[in-house]
Amino acid sequence: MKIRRKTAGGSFALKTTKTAGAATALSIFASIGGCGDPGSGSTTSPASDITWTSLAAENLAADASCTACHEAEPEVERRIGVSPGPRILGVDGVGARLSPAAIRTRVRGHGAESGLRMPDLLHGLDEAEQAVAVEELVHFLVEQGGPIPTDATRMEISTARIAQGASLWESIGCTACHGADAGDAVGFGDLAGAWTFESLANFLGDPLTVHPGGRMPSLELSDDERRSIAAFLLAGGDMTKTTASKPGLQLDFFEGDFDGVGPIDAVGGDVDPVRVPVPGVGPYAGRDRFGLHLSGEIEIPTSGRWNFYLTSDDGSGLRIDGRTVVSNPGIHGEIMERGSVDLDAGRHAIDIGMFEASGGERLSLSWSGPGVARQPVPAEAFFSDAVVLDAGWADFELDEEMARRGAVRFAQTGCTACHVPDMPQPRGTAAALPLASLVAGRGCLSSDVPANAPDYGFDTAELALLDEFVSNVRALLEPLPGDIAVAHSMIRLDCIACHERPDVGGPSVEARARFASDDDAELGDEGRIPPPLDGVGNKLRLEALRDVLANGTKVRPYMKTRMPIFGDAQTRDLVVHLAASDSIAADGREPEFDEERVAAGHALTGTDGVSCVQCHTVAGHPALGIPAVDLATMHARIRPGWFRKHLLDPQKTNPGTRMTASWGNGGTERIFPELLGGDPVKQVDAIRSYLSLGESMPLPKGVVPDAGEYALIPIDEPILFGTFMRDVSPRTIAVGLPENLHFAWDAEHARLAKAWRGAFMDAEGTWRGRAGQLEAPEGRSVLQMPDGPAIAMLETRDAAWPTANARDPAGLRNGAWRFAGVTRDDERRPAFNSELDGVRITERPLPRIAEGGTSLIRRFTVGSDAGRGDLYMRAAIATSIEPVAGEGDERIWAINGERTVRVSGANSFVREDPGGMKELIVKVPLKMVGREDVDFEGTFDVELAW
Amino acid sequence: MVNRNEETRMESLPRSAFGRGIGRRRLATVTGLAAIVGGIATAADESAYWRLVDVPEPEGVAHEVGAVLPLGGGRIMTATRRGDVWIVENAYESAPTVSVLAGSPEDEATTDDPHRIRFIKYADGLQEPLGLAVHPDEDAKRRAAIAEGRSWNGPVHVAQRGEVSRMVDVDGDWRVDRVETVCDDWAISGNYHEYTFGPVFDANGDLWLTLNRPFGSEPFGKKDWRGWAIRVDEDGAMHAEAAGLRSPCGVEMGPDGNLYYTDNQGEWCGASKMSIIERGDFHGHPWGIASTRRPESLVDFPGDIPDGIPMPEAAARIPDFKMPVVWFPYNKCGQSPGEVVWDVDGTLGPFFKGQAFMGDQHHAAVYRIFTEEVNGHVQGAVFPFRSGFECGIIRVEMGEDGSLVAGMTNRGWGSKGTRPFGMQRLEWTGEVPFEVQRMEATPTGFRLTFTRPADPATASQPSNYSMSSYTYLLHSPYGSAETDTAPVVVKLAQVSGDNLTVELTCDPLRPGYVHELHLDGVRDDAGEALLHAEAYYTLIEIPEAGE
Repeated sequence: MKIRRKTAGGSFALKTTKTAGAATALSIFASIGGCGDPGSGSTTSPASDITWTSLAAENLAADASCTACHEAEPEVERRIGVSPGPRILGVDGVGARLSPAAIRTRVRGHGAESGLRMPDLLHGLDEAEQAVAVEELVHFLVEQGGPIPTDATRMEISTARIAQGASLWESIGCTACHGADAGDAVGFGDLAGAWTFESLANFLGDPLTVHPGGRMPSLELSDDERRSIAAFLLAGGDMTKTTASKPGLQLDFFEGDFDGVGPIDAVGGDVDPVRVPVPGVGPYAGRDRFGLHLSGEIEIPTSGRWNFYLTSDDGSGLRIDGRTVVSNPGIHGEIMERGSVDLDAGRHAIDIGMFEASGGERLSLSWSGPGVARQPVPAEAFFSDAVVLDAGWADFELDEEMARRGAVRFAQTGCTACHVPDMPQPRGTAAALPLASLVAGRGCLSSDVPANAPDYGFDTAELALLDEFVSNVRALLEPLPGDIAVAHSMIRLDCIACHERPDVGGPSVEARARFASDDDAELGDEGRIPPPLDGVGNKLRLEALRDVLANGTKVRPYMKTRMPIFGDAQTRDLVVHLAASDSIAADGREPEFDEERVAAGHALTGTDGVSCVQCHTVAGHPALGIPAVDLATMHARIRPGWFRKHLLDPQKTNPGTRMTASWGNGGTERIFPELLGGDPVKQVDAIRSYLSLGESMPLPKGVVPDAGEYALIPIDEPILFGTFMRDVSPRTIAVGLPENLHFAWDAEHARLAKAWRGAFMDAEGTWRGRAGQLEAPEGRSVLQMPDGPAIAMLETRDAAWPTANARDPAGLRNGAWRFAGVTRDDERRPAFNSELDGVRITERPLPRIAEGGTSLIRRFTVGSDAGRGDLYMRAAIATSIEPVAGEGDERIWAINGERTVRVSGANSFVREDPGGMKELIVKVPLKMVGREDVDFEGTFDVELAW
Repeated sequence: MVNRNEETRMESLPRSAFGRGIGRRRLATVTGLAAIVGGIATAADESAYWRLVDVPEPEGVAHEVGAVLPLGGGRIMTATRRGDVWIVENAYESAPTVSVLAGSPEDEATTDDPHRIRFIKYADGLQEPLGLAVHPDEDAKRRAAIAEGRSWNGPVHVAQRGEVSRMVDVDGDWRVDRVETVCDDWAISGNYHEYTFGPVFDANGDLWLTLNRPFGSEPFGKKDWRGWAIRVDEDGAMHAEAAGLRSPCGVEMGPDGNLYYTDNQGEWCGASKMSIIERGDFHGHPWGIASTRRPESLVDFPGDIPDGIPMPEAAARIPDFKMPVVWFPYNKCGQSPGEVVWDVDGTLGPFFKGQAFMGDQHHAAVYRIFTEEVNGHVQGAVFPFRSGFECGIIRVEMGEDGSLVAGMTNRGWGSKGTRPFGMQRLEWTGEVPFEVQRMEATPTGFRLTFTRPADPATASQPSNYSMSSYTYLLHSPYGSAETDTAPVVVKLAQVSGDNLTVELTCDPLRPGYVHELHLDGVRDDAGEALLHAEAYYTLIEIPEAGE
């Protein structure tokens, strides 16, 4: 068994040079679990002759559970703290958690697990008897919930789960105590030889129940999270890992809007991917707003050119060996796109991305190639990997007779003193003198431990500490002064691994660098590093302190590091000591409360006031900018004096904070002189009175938009609105006409994208807070224009219509139309210009008041320096397009029997595309005009009625 | 402000008390309008020298000013984050009675009022227009018109998210008739933070823009050139000139012909700064360096950027790494720099003629920047100048009357001040403050020049000067604390014969470090303290002796 521990000489660095004595103490702090840097250079605490050394001794005594055997006064027990041993008996006992081999190691003692000291209680027996005793105890303990079936140590785990575990390990705070390297972590030992996936996950979910006195607090992990961390820790160890190739593709599911971009590169999907035999949407049929990523290998039977046919609703894409083979983008119904690629026989990496906005969804893949007619790709062609973990535990057969003998040994050997503390203990057995009567260098503390005493394996430095400790037990009757008690608890619980507190310590430079926050929080170190605890007893109310320490209550959603739950028993004294050493009595008074003050506070909080809502969440409603702590929690958490000081001069209470000093000049500047006489203190107090309403506070201005605040309603003249539009482009000019007929121009692709009637748009997603939402038409009856360019140059009238030509990320246009700008007419209606290869189009969308609903005229003016006959306009794509009336340059067509298109001033005809759809095509008429600005020009109307 | 008290005095909880918060300004009513003028007297000392004058907008206009362009004849063109371009008429009125929207009933009812301000909607539907610029040929006409007291109405270039465009009002009715796409060679992803800043014309008539990096989702796919400075030539073609920018909110051509930009503290930008942009620069942020691999890039790939090294080391190790002109130490000199403007005519006070003024979005304040060229590098000092604006400032321009026009918004990025948006002007009162006019580097320390003679007794006392120096880390976390801070000993303070300058001998001088000076004890000849007794000199180059 490997026990790895960090020592002062190991990989963590101390910030300051300490004197020899302190350095010894520090090495012990370090060895018993912490990575935090205690001390700030002083070796003696400020208040008394209590030294870091004596505190280290007390911590060591607590960890060794001295008082479990050696009786001590309650005051002494309370002062040094007690660490009951892990709960090991019962149906959920140690046998259900650990492997028999791990139990055997622990029975022999000297096993540091989660910072606890396990003594060797059997060293007094002769070798043969020792071996018997160990085996009996092992059988007894394995019986406590075990043995774990060997097959439970074999586990198939997805790589996504291991990756999620790694990301949690790095982000939520594990590394603060265990160190950055999971493979060499403090307090771990041989994890895979001891734990199963299930038992480790269970332990991580609720460590305090197993180790009520342990250092390992609960991080309130969800089921998913604890399984992921367990998977990561076990997979990172010495476990046998095999990667098995199995039939089918791995399918990762992602919730959300993908808007025209397949999730092929998305990360963070479900961690237990589904395996599907062939490309499809798997169990996600019937859902909306999601993306899928299918990955694995495809086996190509014969070398040669292979065609792939990717059918999807909505968009999708296919990559083979990392190269895009088929692209089927955009929001659309069931559409098939094809692509070809030369492939050698054998397996190739395959990736399929697909997304679904709303409505129906479908995904399928067919192929054709050498000797294979077009057909769906069969299931036999797909493979993907799965990681299988196998700890390879030795078989163990439980001998009930041995277990029974083990039970007797368990009681006789004194194991119960620590592990069953509720049981009446055989205290006062020969060696167990009261704590106060212990003598340095004797019993457990002698360099050669006598047979009847437990052997802790203390090293010389530790023995020196404990010798001093037992010589001064009387002094422990005195409670520690508040500030020393705070330091004592903070070091013991390793609060300083994350939190800085003057005269106590704080995270090392390396640890500070590891704290992370949400990328978008933009809160600097404040959003990343757990808050310093300088004066925290003055800042937080007693109840709030208790809540955060005992229950791990979280108020900073942007901070990835999590405040652990330590439980009430371990923290109740710390809460009292913090409050006692930090509080300033005069700060405790709440301001006077009345409705006028509440109203003033309400006004000040909103966007017409000092605008707290720009950054602070309000009773769960997101802030307009960054997501700072929820205002509804402030009154319950923050003491009135600190609140006042912080609002008036935030840099003073919290240097470097991003909090705005709204009242400048150190909180003396008069703003809003009409409110409460312009008195900054009264105004801050008014905000507090308002915040005291907590969750019931009426929302301040700006948090929730007023009804209609962002509604765009064209009344007198057209409204132009530049925005990101869902399934159009990030460069959309939406136009609302007073005729209540509206349309969206896609400036990125220089094309009319949509037209609709009724309500125009709401700009909230573009104009509120940092905005940047994708907008959509408000009205119904949205008419979608055909994909791709409206006008194209075709070599023949039967040539395929070009597909929408997206620009590459660098902006290269690849022969697509370029938007050239907007012109406005006398009624402020826009016309849109675009150009390609010397051809210039102006499209002027105009309303025509018509019985049954206003129709949209698309008036095209096409100009060219050359006479050319290769220009065509595509007016519609549909399954059915039938002539209704007219002839020649004036025709009316029925589209799917639902709507009509009238083409005026140009010849129009219907043709069929390769997929069997009908296309209504207009031949662009170009006539020589010989004007100064243009030589050839043609004008025609395409009127849409729907 | 307008009688907020009346609107916030509420009878009973809960409903009536929680209407619309502090009332919006009712400019259609004349009541309380005097309060609009002069803003709120805040920084009492500063206001004796520079007074604030509000340029109110009509009710219902969200004047989230993203660009300011003086047109002459009392007109200012503004562009807003909501996509509107406004013509603000009578913008320099010192005692406005009302602000009206052209074409509204109030407009017609107040036509005879000479003190009214009037807004005309010139254009709408633009995407986050954050800059307006005029081609050098046209700008000469604009300046001539301003000098003659009439308005100029020629073509104006405007930056939008996805393009730079040219706006033309053909018939002269102050309503745009054509918005022509000049260049859209960069693509955008649909991320809110992909702002386009600029445009700025150089002497050749080429346009410069800076492209903000995205934060969060990029629904239309990740694009190139984010965090870059680009140039658009006369043919409308884009050239990718410099990389490594983070959130380059202000771009401005300096009177020295250098292109300056400001950047906002964050990841890979340890402290907010003002830097000069030149072809091939790398400014420190690795977001867009993948684009250096493209053939169109004019920046060499700078290699993997080390995470967590001090700026001087970054300058030594990373190819083409650009050191700033000045850093703006966090909280001491604002928190979010916006645009910079040079007071070339000295109308904010002749003693500051030629110096630069930066509007800060978070602090709702203006900072003053003195620059000098040392060993070929432009560097200098930042001083607090005027706080107490009503909202965060992202744009500053010099108005036709010599006042500084500030365009303000705090939407999404909170700021000091009492309003969500607006425009204010800052006028010099004609009084001469006691200030450090210049802070120049010397081989042995710094030379300070005062706006008025100093008291030689206090000014020659080294203990009246306290100095420290620090640098910043180039690293991935958001912002850098001041790093490697050490005291600087002021050994000697030698006052000139006219008591206007003092030579400080300082030790040590560390290149690549901000040298922060406090001189609270220095008095003028009447015993008056400095208006701002602090200065922040970014020492990149130390002058050689004998210069």
